[in-house]
Amino acid sequence: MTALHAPAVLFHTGAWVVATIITILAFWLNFLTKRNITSVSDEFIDKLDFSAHICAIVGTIGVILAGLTGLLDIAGAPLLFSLDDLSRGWDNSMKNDLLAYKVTWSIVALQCYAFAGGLRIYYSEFKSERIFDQHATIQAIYTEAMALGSVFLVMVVAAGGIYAHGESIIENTFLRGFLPTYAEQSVEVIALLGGLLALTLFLISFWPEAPREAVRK
Amino acid sequence: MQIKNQLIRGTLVIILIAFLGYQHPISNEQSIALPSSVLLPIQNQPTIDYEVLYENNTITIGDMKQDSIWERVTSWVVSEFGIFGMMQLYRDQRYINGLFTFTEDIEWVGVQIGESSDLECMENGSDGWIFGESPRYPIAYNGDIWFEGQEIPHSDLVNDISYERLASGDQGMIEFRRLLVTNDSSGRDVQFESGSTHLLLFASAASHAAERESIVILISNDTLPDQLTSSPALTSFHEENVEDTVTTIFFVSIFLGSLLGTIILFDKRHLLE
Repeated sequence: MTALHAPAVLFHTGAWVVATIITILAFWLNFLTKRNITSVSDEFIDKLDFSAHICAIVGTIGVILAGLTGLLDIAGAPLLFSLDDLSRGWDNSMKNDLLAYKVTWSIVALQCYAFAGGLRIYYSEFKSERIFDQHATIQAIYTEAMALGSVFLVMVVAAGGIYAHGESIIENTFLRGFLPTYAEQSVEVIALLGGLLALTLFLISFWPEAPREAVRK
Repeated sequence: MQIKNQLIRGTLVIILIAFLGYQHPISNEQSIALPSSVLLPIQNQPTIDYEVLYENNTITIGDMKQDSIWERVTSWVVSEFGIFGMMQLYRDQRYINGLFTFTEDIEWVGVQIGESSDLECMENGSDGWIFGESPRYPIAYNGDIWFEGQEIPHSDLVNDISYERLASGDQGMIEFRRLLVTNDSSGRDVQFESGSTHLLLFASAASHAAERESIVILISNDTLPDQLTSSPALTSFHEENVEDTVTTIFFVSIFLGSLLGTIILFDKRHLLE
């Protein structure tokens, strides 16, 4: 199974990073349009949102497949596996700090996506409303949840790089603070991401939307 | 409206169940200390970190494969040897046998051996074993060495160590053996007599800072167990990682679940419009 985990991670990481970038773009275009800085149609925002939605579905399936192949890889199990193989994969992973980190933060990333998905389902399925028609705070939390999930997934892939090759290109970026080998620098990353969220919420609080009829589309 | 009410109640019930159902992973068991928590300085009676047990069977060097006996020998986690870092030792009638496991791309791994609790890093006249080549100095070490302070370590005139370097995936391994008693005074060799205790200080090309953890080993007469169900060092690592993982996932669930519940509650009361 060793050969399957490495390509499997590319799909979900790529899909989720694209979904996050598109969502951030949609959030800011929508934000600025509702304040009359840009003029983008609701249809365009919906197209972006739909693309992100499809990428997210591909990403979710990919994460689950990559998690399975990863556990089987470390268990040395065949493609036709049993629950015992998965359990052995979990046990073996927990014996190694780096693999335990990968398991933990993969699940946390999925939790972030599940949260964003929960918000989306609530508004679109139960209320039949667009997520980008909601209060900007809701949109910001939705976007941030996806962004955080993607950051965690990228970190998990980077930890995989360190496990397999002893190093990762992420070690040269500010995000390295999330890697277990640079734990002492984690405050910088948390401060930066937290600061960005705080700045967004600050902007939302003090910059009200233009009246609906005045918005140019 | 009814659906929304049910949704809010459902979320709150899930959060409540998660709180009530959560149990501390090892709360009902005896807490196991990490190996790194047993540190020197030691008192008059040294704390034994690792027992070198007896088995009337020497490993084969030169067959280029890992001996099956290592499945029965307790592992000690050595962080200086990288993410796979591990040491295993046992003794037979004549030899002390060892297996160092490390990340394959580390150029050299080694250990400094001393008798006293105040062993200094590269202490003048102390014994050691180094395997591999230093990228800084073009010197290859084949095991037996001694230290002359901060100078480049000297290889012993008589190399009492036989070893083979093995690889499995990203793991490198050194399987070696040395006579328990060498009587090699020129090589400053430590003599591993039954019941004696020794201090080990690990280093590798990846990690050889002056401040490192050291461990005390005992040359024991007790025999190896027939089967090692789980190594204490690995077990404690395992327990700690499981605890960390479960705790992290639990608190993230609570946080995100509460946030989702709050948003739905605010939305229901039209506070975010």
